[in-house]
Amino acid sequence: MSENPRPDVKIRIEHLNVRYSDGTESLHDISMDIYTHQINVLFGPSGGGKSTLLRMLNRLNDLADVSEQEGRILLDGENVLARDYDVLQLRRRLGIVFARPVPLPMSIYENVIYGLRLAGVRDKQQLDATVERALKQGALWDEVSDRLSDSAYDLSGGQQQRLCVARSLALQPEVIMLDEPTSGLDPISTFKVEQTLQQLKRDYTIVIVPHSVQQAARIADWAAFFLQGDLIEWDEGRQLFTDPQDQRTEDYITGRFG
Amino acid sequence: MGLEVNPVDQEEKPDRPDPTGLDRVGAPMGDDHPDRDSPKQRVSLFEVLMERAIQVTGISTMLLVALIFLFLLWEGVPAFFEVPLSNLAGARWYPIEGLYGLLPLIAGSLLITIGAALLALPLGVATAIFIAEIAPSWGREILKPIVEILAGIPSVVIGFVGILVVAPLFRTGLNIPTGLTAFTGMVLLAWMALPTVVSVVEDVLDTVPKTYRDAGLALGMTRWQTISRILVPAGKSGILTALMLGVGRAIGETMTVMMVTGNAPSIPVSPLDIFASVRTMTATIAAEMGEVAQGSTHYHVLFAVGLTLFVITFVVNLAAASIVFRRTRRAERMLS
Ligand SMILES: Nc1ncnc2c1ncn2[C@@H]1O[C@H](COP(=O)(O)OP(=O)(O)OP(=O)(O)O)[C@@H](O)[C@H]1O
Ligand SMILES: [Mg+2]
Repeated sequence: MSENPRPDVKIRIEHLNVRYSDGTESLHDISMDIYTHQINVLFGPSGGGKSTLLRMLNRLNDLADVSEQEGRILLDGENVLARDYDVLQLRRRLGIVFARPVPLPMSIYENVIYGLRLAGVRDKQQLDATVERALKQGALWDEVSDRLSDSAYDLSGGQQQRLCVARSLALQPEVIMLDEPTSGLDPISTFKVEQTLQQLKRDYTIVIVPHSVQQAARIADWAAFFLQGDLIEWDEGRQLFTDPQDQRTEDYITGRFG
Repeated sequence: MGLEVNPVDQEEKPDRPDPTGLDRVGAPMGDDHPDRDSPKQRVSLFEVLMERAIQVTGISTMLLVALIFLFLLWEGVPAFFEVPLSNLAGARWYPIEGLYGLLPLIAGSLLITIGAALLALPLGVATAIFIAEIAPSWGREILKPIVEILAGIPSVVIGFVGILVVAPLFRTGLNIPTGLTAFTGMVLLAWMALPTVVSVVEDVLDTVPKTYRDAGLALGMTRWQTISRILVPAGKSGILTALMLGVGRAIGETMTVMMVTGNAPSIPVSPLDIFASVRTMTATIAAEMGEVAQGSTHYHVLFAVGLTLFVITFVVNLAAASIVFRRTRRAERMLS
């Protein structure tokens, strides 16, 4: 591990075990930290439990068939897995963007302010300002500012994905989680999204499951390698991708399996 | 390439490459093998035959529909020559005196159908949402068969229940002279349309991608908000289709309405008239067709009523189809 002073911990995961009711053990004794204002990368072969971990963090898995869960997830020191934790508030604090963009069936403008509307914000000026800020942060403003009332389906795939990023940003979350956000995108759109992330980490904490090892290596400040439910290695990105400590990590990042 | 079928393993998908790179029988993949020719021809002959058979079935179905329509035209159109239009457009249906006003019949059918749709839509959508989204899995296992059984109840039985149970209940409950009213008809037709609406809406909700639910929840929505603001709007056109299909069944329904609506051919004018008797087009045809002399004016007019019904049903189905069409087009666009 590196000797530099560690950044502040945003989320601390302690001995997390998750098992789905069909018997798959998806996460096995995971302990790691998510650091503030860093790009935290979770990577590894398919089925490793990366998506499951993201969905545990904002408790989207509440509705899934999880039969067993143990351990703690501390967001700013508070256990979000506690039964009485305010889940709706949690999900506004931890925005998530999925692999396939999910624009809602409405206009671009309405998509962005949707979460705010639900939270009861009515003030037109505030909504307008939010739309502009969020779209600018999501690097989409220049492309759509003159057609905000068009349907979100009229955007290209890459634009839709950035719209989804903007939609999360509109709620001013503290953490943004992205699950393979660029897997359906062309290289240029991918580049734009990655660039956007570099901007965003100044204001937010970012957790991302990249769609390739190359992407992981490009963007990771911190990286965690998951293999079949186990956290194999977790370190500073520079360290992990140049000098991995575990043989399995090395095999994976050099493309020998996976 | 890729289309030849090996007679030994017919069940294998022919165009899927063997993962091992080897054919199961050991023959190399390729067109150059002389033994391959005969099975190839047999398959294509079979395909041609199947194709023809499907074509013939399809065309004969269309022909049948066309013939029915022609028959309706043939028997119904003379009515428009034998009876002056002002009479047909009149407000009184009284065939014995030569009064063939279609308005009360059309009004009766529309009133009952629209009423049934208005009742069936919220109930059906709510039930479907409950089954698809809210009920625990064991509840779903119980509810789905029940809905299907509901769809299989013959309309005579529903009419019977209507006469014996529902009508008396309304008469005493609402304190009206007779329980055989338009309202009774609406309720029972809604009941009949319900299974259609429920199963189609349920299918629609099933096809809304799971990611939509996640997206909603991830924005901090409650489950109810996710359902009402994302799932239902996303399935809007499908829900409309469900309604049309339900309505399509309701408007053509004869037996139940004949049994429970009282069959008085009057035009409803005030909202309270839903608690009065009405007579629908279908009930009129069913009740009077047996008593008219073939070829008489009354006979032709009954066919004209049938023709009107046909046109209305056709328009409803066309509307439903165009909505479905729009939906697939949009789905395609979303996928591209
Ligand atoms: N809802 C679910 N019900 C049952 N098992 C599930 C569910 N979701 C995931 N799993 C299982 O949990 C394990 C981890 O899945 P997960 O989706 O977290 O992996 P992943 O690392 O995100 O993989 P990928 O790179 O393919 O997205 C897999 O074995 C998967 O089959
Ligand atoms: Mg995943």
